[in-house]
Amino acid sequence: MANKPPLVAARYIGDYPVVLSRQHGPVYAPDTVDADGTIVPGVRIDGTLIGKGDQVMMPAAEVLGQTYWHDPQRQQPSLSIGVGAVVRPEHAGLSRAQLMAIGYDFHEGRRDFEAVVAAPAAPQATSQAAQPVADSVALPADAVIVVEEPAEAEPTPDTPDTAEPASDTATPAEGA
Amino acid sequence: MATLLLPIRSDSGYVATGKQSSGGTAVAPTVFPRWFDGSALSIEQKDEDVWEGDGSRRLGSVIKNLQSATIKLTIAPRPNEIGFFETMAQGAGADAYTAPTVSTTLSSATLANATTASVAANTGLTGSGTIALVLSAGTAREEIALFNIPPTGAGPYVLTVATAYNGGHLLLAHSSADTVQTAGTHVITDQSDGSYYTFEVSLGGTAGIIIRLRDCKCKTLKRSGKAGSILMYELEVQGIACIVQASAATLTFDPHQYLLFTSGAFTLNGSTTGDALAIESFDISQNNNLDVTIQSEQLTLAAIIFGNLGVDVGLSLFYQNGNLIAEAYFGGASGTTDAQAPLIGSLLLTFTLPDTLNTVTYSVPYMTYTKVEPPALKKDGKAFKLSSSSTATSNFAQNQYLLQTTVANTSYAAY
Repeated sequence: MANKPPLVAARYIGDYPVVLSRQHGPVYAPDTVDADGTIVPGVRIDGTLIGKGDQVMMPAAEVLGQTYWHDPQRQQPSLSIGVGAVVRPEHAGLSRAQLMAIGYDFHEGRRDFEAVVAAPAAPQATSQAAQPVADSVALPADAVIVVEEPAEAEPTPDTPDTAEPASDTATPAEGA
Repeated sequence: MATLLLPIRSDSGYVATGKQSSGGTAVAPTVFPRWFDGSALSIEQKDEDVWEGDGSRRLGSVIKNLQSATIKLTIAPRPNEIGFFETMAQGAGADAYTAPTVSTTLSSATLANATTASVAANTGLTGSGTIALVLSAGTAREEIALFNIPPTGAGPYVLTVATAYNGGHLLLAHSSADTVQTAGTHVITDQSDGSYYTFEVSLGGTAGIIIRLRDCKCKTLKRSGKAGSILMYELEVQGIACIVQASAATLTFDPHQYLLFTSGAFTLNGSTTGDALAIESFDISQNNNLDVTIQSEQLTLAAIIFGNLGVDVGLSLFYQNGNLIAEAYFGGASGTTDAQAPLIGSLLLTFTLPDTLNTVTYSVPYMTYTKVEPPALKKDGKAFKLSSSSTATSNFAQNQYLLQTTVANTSYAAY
């Protein structure tokens, strides 16, 4: 059975109300904290109608986006780098255009939801236990976060800089 | 102990889509239309047999030249989805959006079963009769109700719920400051090229495979309807690159109604009578003739662009006289012999939801009849039917579009 993806609290900001499907199992509202500090588990809300401002626990990658690396020559298996716009340490400092030229593939999150938890410092930093906070945090479109390890260890082919020599990727004139 | 198979139901899946902010960057889908049979993902590879002389007559190997994917989607779109898919088909910047003429807020909260609503402004409400307004748009308490106008009072203004709506009572409670609006209007016409969209197809969820296809453009879109049935869309898109997803999306469905053929108002060749009342079915087919040959160093396409636009109209009519045949082939309804001039016509179709706020109108202002098929004789004695095919033209570039789709709905921004 597939592992459950990490979840984050997300606020619906779409144009029209929507019905949450039950097709992929339970969907919960975020946990809340009552007046005396007790954590109240989020209720199951799949099958219900939600509208602007309603909050849902959703896969982090669906809300914050995700990053992959694909071998430009399509010879090596792709890597899932992590949730959000993230890069390997050896590629820190490269522009988005340079990163995309060496195989980075940035996927944006859903436009009709916004995260209501702090953006994770690393891909695994969010979990279903994460508590919603009052203010939403949105990653700037051009923001990238450096991750120390790939989010998914398998398969473990060469890292991108093996496929593309680091000296090439670091050349400012290259790519864009 | 026997090991049993783990079959996956063929209805365990979804097709979803979202509009990309730019080419090359996929986006998690936001539109989840309910699909019908005929919806499918197809991954195509172009192969090359490699024949090298090695003393044998055996094929040495096969290589891939190109890989891409197409998705077919058959849906009964809701008005909010129609705007999305029409813009996808017509191109980037196709939607000329006009904000609602009535856009105010509730001055005080209303309870379920209320007979009135108090609003802050009366702009757009000073006429007489009834008006459909959406209260609390976008929220889970959204309600589209019919009100009598003009309202009473000098501000705040008190609107009375029309008796035609739920006996004159609101169904839901609404909060003070909730929005009160008429529909937003989207006038969608063809453009030179299309935006890129991401599609995601789940075939059995994580037990099967979930494939995200980025950089898709609309190849074809067929809008169709037939007597007594639902307005249907058949869409085909071509994408550039697939990325398998580790988890399924959170499916969110539009709760609004689909449009029925019986809600249609038909104008054919400028008339609302005669053949316009005899339409059994119609289809408006659009082909963007995508250029899917742009490949450089990669296995996948480097770009997709719109080619020439084709819009064709097909009609099936109940045959009441020979006028359309004579007009198409003999120069006029009273024509008697072959004539050079083709029949030029037009088509205007409007469909309205029961709430009267959501509507969609298709306008093909100039179309040349390329075929009017005389009905075949049949011994069963049932009614003759006449089928026709027409091709939309710009009339020597005098028209700014071949097809214009106008959608009034509760999406308050351009698609």
